[in-house]
Amino acid sequence: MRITKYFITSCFSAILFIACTDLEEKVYDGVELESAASSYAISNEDAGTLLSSAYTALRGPYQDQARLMALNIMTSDAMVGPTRGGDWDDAGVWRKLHTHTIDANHGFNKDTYNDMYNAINSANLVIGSTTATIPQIAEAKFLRALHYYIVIDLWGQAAYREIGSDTNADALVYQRNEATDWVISELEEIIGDLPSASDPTRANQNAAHWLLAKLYLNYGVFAGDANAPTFDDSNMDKVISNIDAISGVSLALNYWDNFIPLNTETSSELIFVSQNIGGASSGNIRSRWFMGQHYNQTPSGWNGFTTLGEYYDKFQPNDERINTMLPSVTEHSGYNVGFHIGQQYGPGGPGVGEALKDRLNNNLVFTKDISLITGGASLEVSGVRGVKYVPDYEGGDNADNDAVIARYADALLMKAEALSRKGDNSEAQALVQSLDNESGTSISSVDDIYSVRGRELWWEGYRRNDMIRFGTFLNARELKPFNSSPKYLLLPIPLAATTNPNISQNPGY
Amino acid sequence: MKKILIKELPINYFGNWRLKMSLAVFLLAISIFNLQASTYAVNTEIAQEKAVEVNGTVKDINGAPLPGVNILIVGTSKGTQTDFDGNYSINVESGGVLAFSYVGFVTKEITVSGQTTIDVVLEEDSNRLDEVVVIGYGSTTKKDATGSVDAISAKDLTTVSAINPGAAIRGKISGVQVSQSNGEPGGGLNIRIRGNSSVRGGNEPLVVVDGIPLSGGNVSAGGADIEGVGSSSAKSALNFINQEDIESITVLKDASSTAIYGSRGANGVVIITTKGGKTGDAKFDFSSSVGFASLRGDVDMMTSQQYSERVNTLGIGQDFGGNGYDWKDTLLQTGVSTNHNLGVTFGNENSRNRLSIGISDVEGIVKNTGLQRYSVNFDNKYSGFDDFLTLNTKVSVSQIEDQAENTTDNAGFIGNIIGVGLYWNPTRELYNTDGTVNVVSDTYLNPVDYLNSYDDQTSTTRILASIAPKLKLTDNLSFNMVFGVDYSTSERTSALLPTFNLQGFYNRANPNGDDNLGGFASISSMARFNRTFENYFSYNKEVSDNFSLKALLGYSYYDYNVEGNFVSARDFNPNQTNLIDNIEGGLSTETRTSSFKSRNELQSFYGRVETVINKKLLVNASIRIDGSTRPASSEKYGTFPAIGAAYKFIEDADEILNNLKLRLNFGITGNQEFDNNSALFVGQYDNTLFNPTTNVNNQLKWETTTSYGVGVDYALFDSKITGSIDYFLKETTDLIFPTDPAGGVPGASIKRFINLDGTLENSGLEFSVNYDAITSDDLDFSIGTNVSYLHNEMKNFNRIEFTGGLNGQGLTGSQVQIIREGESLFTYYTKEWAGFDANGLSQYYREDGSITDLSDAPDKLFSGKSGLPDFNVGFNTSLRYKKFDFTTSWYGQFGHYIYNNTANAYFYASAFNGGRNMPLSYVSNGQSASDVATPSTLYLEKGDFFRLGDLGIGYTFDTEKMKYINALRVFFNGTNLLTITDYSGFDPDVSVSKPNSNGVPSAGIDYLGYPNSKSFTFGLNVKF
Repeated sequence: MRITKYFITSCFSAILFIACTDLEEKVYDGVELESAASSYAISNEDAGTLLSSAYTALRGPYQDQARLMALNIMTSDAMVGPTRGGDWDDAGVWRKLHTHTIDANHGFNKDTYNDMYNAINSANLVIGSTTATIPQIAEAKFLRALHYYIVIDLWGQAAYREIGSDTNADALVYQRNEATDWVISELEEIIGDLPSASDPTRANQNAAHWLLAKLYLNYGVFAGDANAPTFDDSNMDKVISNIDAISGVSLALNYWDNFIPLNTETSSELIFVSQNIGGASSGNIRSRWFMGQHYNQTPSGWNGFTTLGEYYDKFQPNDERINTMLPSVTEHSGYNVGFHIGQQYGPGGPGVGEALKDRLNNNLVFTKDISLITGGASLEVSGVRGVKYVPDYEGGDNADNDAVIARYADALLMKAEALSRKGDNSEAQALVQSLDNESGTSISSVDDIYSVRGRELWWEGYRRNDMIRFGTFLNARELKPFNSSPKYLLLPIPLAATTNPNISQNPGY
Repeated sequence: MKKILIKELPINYFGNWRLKMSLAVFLLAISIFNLQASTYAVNTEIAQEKAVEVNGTVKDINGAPLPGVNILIVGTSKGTQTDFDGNYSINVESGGVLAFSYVGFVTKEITVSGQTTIDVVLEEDSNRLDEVVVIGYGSTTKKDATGSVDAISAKDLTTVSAINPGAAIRGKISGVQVSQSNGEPGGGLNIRIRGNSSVRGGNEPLVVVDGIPLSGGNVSAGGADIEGVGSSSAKSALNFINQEDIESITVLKDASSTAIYGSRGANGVVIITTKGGKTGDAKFDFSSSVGFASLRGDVDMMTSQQYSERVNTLGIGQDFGGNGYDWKDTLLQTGVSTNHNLGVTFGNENSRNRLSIGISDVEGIVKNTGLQRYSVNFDNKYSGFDDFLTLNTKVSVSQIEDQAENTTDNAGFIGNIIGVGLYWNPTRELYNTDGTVNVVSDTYLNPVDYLNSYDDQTSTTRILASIAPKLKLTDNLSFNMVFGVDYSTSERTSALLPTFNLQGFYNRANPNGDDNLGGFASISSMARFNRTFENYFSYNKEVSDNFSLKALLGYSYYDYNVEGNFVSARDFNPNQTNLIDNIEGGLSTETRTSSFKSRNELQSFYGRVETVINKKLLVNASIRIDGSTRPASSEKYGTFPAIGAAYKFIEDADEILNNLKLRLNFGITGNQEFDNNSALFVGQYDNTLFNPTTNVNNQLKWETTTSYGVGVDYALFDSKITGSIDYFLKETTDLIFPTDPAGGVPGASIKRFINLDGTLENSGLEFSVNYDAITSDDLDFSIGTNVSYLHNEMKNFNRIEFTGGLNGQGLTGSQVQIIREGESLFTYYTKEWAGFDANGLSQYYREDGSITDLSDAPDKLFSGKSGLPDFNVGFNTSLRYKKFDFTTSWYGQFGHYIYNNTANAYFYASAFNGGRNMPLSYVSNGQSASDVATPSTLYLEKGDFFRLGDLGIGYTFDTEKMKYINALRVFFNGTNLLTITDYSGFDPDVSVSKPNSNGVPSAGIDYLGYPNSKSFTFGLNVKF
């Protein structure tokens, strides 16, 4: 009996040995990054993979309709997101962008801010990687500079972390002018390490020159008084020299080559893009045609964003940049690429496809009349819609169109603007007239360049930046019938970001 | 000698310490055993020499035999139990005292002086304070409890017919709020004990089943998110427990009771004890019932006639001339459920067994939805080696099959099946003249088409098994162990047919040229494997008449493993119908796969001392040191002490006041409900990429809740009136909080867990009273009520967090609640609606009280109204007249506001203008078709309600003359039969807590999920 009990006790007590643990946490469905808890110094990852991730991180902010597109275009005179009855209210987020009533709680402002810094973080991981090569670091630094340019443009101050610093600590902050100088110096430092070959899906010297030109062109806004910027000749010279340094690219044979599914493969004009792989992996570039198309069009859209009458009227109705027939688009969708106004048709287009009706059984006739809140019979039809990227009918949810971040027409117009700002309107005019649809345009002042930019680069994401540089951003306009406060020259810092004591809210918010 | 660097110490320290601890416990166990084993053998021999065998029967005052009565020889641990016929037999020395005890009856002691037959009649104990309640690692009586604990027993469960056992405590216990978020069979329940003590999720109490703490989290797999229509949530993790197998449910509310569960006790503890076996021949217990469920609550959607009238009078909308559409006929059904259970007990003095099988088949009130559960439970209690070893073995196996439709609570602009059914224009025909379904558009769906084109099945198997040996080392000291495994595996499949015309899922590009592909299918599976090792010594001694001592010292180890995978495919050939079984039919480029796995380990050291001094003063002190893998490496361990004291000023007095006990308690509990790996810097491979998946916080530590409580238990008028009054204050600090990535830029765009500066304070007053108004042979009548008041406030909180996200068309990204300094959690923060102007456009208040229109209205105003109820009320009656019994159980919530997301997303004039149906009451409320349904207080309503949750009527037959049959009862149960509320939506019991994208929950928002139901159940229960 005694032995039995002894045995029973021993058996059960033995369990204690099995159970004890040192509580070291393990990672099963990922990799714990070595020694990286307090720095970017990752040693156990291949830097090439990290660099691919840094490129992929472009897709969110540069392609989704609720990120940079919303902040850069919908705040301008080129686009509005009207509320249509119960549709597209979304607690006013779209209206607030257009009417300059955005505040620090704005969801898309925060999402974009987070996405930009996420992309910066992805670049930092490459830069801090102990296995990264000099060219890889240069590519990552270009990406980081591009993102910081956006951050400076939208929010002014820039939060940064030194490689090797404690990522648990609050990030440090450059003020807007400091950040501008820092980004310029970084770019100038690494430009020689970038590939010179013009593969626009990778960081390259052309793209760095384009970005430097952007920074110098906007230097008066970024480092001076944004409400009354000045444009020093020395900065304009830098713009010109950087654009002149771009090589191996030229204006596309056809404007729409820049926006078709195979745009990078076809167009000679693209300098830098956010790459999509059709049918496999893409950002949300398809939102560019979904957002405006009516539910009853093909493919069925979201019946959302439109341009404004004032903006539409800046174009000749037959300007090929807003009205071009592409056979495959007519066949599938029944419309021309560009802006859509008037009666809409099913696949095949007028004469072949049926004349479409809206869901209220009214004729689907898009009109220039647009209000912030539509209703009645025009609930679903008001507003001129736009298709800037040519729909990819084969890619499913993963459209092949690469999102254009920099193209040569923009570069040429930056140079023209710099020349004009220096007083050389004739050389500027020559450059402008090299554009297919602007061959008859005369340039008598820099404001003429502004008009050309508005037409050539519609819905490409430059409009807010251009309007601020040309001093028109705050002006009253069609659906913002008042001058807005200068505080709107910068977007608010998202409320959640101000928990970092080094970050201060932008004035006025 | 080598110098040890200070930096190296922690690892060495824990390593050695772990080993030492193990050795110490092991050696202690052996030495105690050695000391005892020798004397023990001698004692038994002496005892057996003088022993005589005593037999007898134990009955109640009505003469009914009482099975399972505990018979103990006083002063020893020797004892037995009565068999099913109330018979017992025990060897006892002359002069020994036998104590007969039975739950709910007064314990009787009888001295043996030569009798060999002792028949005993036990009287029912009207004093509820003597009820035994199970607490952590032991049991006590309500009378001797120093903390705030409440229990309900099996007999309270007979009037509740529910798949989820959580429903059984609804309205029964003060301070406990049980909310049924929807009427889906087996749908989730939210249980809140003394409020929300955490800002983040993790407000669910710890559930302990037969000594096994469950892991929390979903057991069934979640569904895929389908763009525009949303994803479906997982079912309740408690569904695997068959209500028929539950012996009791205890709720531990205060820290002095819950701190023994340490880090996981902060939200209270629910202890579920399942039924055990009995000695004697096989006895059967069979029950069977059939139930009928139908929609509870309604909205007055227009009929086709009303709709066409409004089209004519208002000049908006469109009349298609059809007639007879009713969304309820189209989508709903009478949900028939059947439930059969058979239990058998058998055993002898050394081994008692219970085996039960349950089969439930529950149809939902939405067509094509339902749940089938098959459960098998086995329990064996073995004692041997002269009672040196007792061994309790439990195995529970359940298989649950779920069928769902898309009743998601996060539907996008197209809507879930209910939303689509509601908005379908009733003048449209569902079918074309050729019999095909009438397809309107890919964003305006035909409800029949939707119903028939979507398929969602979940199959979940769960095994909970434990073996619990107890070694009686001395009369006073025993060593207890529980080894348990909790294994579950679940597979969910959902499919949307390629012929269904849904935006983004129909007529999609086919590489061969036709644009005819469509549909979507997903298979997600999840497996959990959890292990429990409990080891503890318990010591129990009456040191003197005036001092008794119970002590506990233990070590436990748990690990919780979860893993799973997910496959989805889309763009199937339009002829394919078996998408799930042939998922490779989808386009290979659109096929997605993913998998996950994580693990949490916990180890704990705990001890507790309970003393009774002078039979008046009860003092209970406990401490638990919990270590977890989750916190940062320097913060692995948390220490959670508690102390409770009670003083019985009056006990069993023959005055007006029979009993009066004052209780005081203080304790610290913890919470570690953040994601695994949050303190580490982790990245994941994703196709050819590698991305960070955490925002590391290398200082992440336990959230702690410090609680203070004071309470009084009382009994009046011959203990006819009993009850308690409790006040508590809980302060939660180091709040675990998922911060927005914006706070840590530059960093990955992923939430980051931090410990917030700030205190979440919950304080409350709980009041319960029970009145046994009539107790007689023919008639018993008692009523009970409980009221709890709860105040919740954020203090020293320097952030603002938005929550309360809305869903539906035009509501993307909208949030209507805020968490901020000085306010209750989930306070509404949205536009303040001021009525419609003459044109039917909404007007809103400015900060200064003036009125303006939407274009100029301030974005949000602080309302001071919260989604959390101030008062939770329960009310119960129990009546027995002769063989009839009649019980009601009511519950209610008061003082909170409900945001009617359903109305915001579906019921407004421009939706009518846009061709959607809406309730008649909304059509003529003056709203213009141009008015924007922006979130505002227009959709905020008082949420007060009081509901007859459960009603039970039973008749117990006289079985004296029936052969073989020992008991027979037939019953009728009703659920949710009556609801008193002014709330205009479907159902006011909406306290779901759907989290925002960072995991911060909300409360009080009425998402249009699966509609709630009411039901009638008829059944019988027979013992033979």
